[in-house]
Amino acid sequence: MAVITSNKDGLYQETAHTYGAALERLAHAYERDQDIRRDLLQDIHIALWRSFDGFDGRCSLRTWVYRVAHNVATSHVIRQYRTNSRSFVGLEELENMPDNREARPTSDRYEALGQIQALIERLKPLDRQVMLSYLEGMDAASIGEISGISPGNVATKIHRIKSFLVRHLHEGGRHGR
Amino acid sequence: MADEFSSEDVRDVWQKQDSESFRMSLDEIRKKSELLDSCIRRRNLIGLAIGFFEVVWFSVFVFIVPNLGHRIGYFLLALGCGYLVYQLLLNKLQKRAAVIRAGEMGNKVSIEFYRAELGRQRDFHRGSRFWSRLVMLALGPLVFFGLAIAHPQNDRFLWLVVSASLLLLLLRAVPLNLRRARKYQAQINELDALQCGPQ
Repeated sequence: MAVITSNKDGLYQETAHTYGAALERLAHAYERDQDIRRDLLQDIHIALWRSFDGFDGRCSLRTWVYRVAHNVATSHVIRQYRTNSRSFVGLEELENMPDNREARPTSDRYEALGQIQALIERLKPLDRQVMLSYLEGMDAASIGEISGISPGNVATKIHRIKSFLVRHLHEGGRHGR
Repeated sequence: MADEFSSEDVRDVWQKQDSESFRMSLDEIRKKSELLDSCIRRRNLIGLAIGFFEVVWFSVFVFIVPNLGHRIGYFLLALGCGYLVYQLLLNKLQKRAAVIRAGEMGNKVSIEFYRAELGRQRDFHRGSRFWSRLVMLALGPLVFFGLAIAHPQNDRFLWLVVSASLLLLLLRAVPLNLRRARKYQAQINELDALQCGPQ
């Protein structure tokens, strides 16, 4: 475990330094509006700072940070859901949606990023979390530890994510040749 | 980038996206954290003040109106309003507890946290919390409705319409709330399936 400091402020500073960029990407995946996203990111940082009072090292700092961040973001999504009556879909349903079948494949990085973000925004909170964790480079065991989803289910979801993403973006590469 | 995206490329695209370099100093965090606490305290006070005002407003009529039946009706209305405000406040407090008790969040896997959030919302729309709220709110209009039928007076029609409308609204709330509770329960069942094992 890479915990260098033991106090609350120290842990926060280490977290901000190590995971700051990842937390920004996380907030970006949960909120498109820039101003609201900034508020969400503030909430995440405040929650993290406050949370370190209860950090006892039973899990790694990374697991702790992602749990707190995802839980704050999930609360945000639930509030937005109640306010806007937005409906989210699961990974299973995503592939069968008509607008996804018509999605334009691409080989351009920025366009690909836009497509990935648009895709994430439509997902239910836990599927969103699995996808984000996968994109951040985590393995199934780490994703399971953070989310609480059984390893078998995480593996199934990762398989779906991989095939869905690669099929859309990979085909674009082929067409682009 | 090559012409094709592999799954590693997709991760690479994601991880190398432009960053806004968000930073918060420790001082800023402390201030915002204190601000959050005081904001919640203020909001709770405002909620309590509104509830208190409603209760006082209806309670005043308990002493003004000469008819005993109407006095009881107004007393029950005040009680119902107070109970509704209490439940709304309780729900709001539980919602904010997530951020306030952030320390617990790190020990909770996301699925448990999400389940608890959904469970809290489900319970607001069904079970003892919902039915007790409904009964408490219906008591006052029921008394007025009964009085309007039992004691024909000049304003009987007005009392009938007002109390019957309130009762109909409450009746309409039953299927709406139960439907919403079922939606939350379905989501909870999905989460339970995810925790159990492979699909």
